[in-house]
Amino acid sequence: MFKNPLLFIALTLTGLIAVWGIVDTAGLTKFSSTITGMMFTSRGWFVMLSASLLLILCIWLAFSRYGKIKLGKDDDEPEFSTVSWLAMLFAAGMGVGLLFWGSAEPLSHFKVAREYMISPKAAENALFITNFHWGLHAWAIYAVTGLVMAYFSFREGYPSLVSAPMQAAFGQRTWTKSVGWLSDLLAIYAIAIGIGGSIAMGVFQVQSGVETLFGLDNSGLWLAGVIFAVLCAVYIPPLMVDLSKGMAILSNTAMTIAGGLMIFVLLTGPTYYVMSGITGAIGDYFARVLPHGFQTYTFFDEKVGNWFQSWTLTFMVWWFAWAPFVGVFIARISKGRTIREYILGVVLVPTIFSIFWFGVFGSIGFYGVLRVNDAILEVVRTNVNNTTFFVLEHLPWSTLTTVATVLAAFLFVVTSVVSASFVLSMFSTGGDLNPDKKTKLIWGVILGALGLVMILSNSIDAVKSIIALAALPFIFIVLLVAVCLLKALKSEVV
Amino acid sequence: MTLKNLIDTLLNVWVFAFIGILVWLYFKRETGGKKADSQETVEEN
Repeated sequence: MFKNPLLFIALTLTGLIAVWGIVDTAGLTKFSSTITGMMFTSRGWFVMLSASLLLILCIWLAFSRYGKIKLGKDDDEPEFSTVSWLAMLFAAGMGVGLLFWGSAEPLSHFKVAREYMISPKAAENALFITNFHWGLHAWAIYAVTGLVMAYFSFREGYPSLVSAPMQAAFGQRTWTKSVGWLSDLLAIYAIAIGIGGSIAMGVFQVQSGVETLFGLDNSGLWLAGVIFAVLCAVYIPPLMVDLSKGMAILSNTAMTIAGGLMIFVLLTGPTYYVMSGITGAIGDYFARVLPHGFQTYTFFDEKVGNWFQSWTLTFMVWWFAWAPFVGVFIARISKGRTIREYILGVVLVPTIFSIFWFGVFGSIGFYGVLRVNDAILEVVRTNVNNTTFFVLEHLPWSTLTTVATVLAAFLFVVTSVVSASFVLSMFSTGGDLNPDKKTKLIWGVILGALGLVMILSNSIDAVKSIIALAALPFIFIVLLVAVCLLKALKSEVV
Repeated sequence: MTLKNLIDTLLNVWVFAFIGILVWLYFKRETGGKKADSQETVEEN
């Protein structure tokens, strides 16, 4: 380990954050909120501009002459069928976050929006904003990062590292080596903190499910601790063996459960209302998405400004934090596809799926608020982790669907941690596609410790600010590697 | 100028400089690297 300074420094840095968080959770939370707040105030415009430019870049690349270029040698064929490729994309993007925020996010926006407009309009806007957070912009950030990785590794033969495009485009210079090294370090750091947050969110979600199932009231940290311990016991063994096939099965199982849950809610809830909500959301989304990418709420009051920072900006940097991790995964499964196929598949298909997902869970939440009573808004305010289960409780077979949600959340987190340990080990060993068990295990433990830090913070807002802190520097790197790609494409003869 | 304003200015100046560097890198003629080497060979021919 000491022979590899990147691995050593990355482990030390993330380990120190974990120790700081465990010893002084409040201190770390306060620090991250302060820095993130300062960055968001000063650079919020830059975050939005970057996300929008990446989306425009994707659209341009897909329809330009470069769209014909293959991510691989010219005679390479795709490794996976289009259907299974798309299914795997869903699995990568549809983590525990969708289960967690399905109803909770549209309702959270609704609470703020209805202070400024009438309730039906507020519901429409809330659904639009939620789709905006999980839609084209998010996937464009992933797509560009993955595209750069795929292009340089499959077409140019460079290792799957964030630093590789810089050296490929600008040669072996002092600056490309040092900036590249720093980028690899920041990528590792951003992934580790991002996955830590995902662990915490998964544990909060499972905890709420268990509380609902057993009628426990506010179990506090002890139940979270027990769930965390079980989670660690489940994800550590797969790190010791090659379980790539097993992981695909787990991931597909989680996806199937989540998909089944969505269809179940659609069919057992007020179907006409949900389908109408989805139809409206599709039109609203595609009509407003591009201009909204440049919306910074500059002239609104402080309340809207704070909401913008803690939701839109946080989500955008969250996607940047996950970009190296999801990007590597997407790149890995996209060998042999053309840039056009890749972009349309990665950006458009998951976005449409997200619109359906939030359309179902959001509309059913609004049905409760606008047609029944405000009870669900109280749940969002007092215990946001419980929102999904509150919705399920009002539908048939709630015990079964609650167990299914808990199981899916658990599986999503396990698969994320195992694959993240693999990607982190790969990054920290110079792009080794078969990192040794010891390195994977060390990363597994560090990820667990980071997850524990975020669980101890006992607040989803704290989790969001800690993730944002790690992700902010990565915005610069994604833009830099995008320029590397453009530079390389210029020399392609199409 | 308050400290808050100063920090804001510095954070934004960093972003402006970064954007400038990106534009410069994009248009800069390369003299090293695999890609750059192949570009140069084409131009020489």
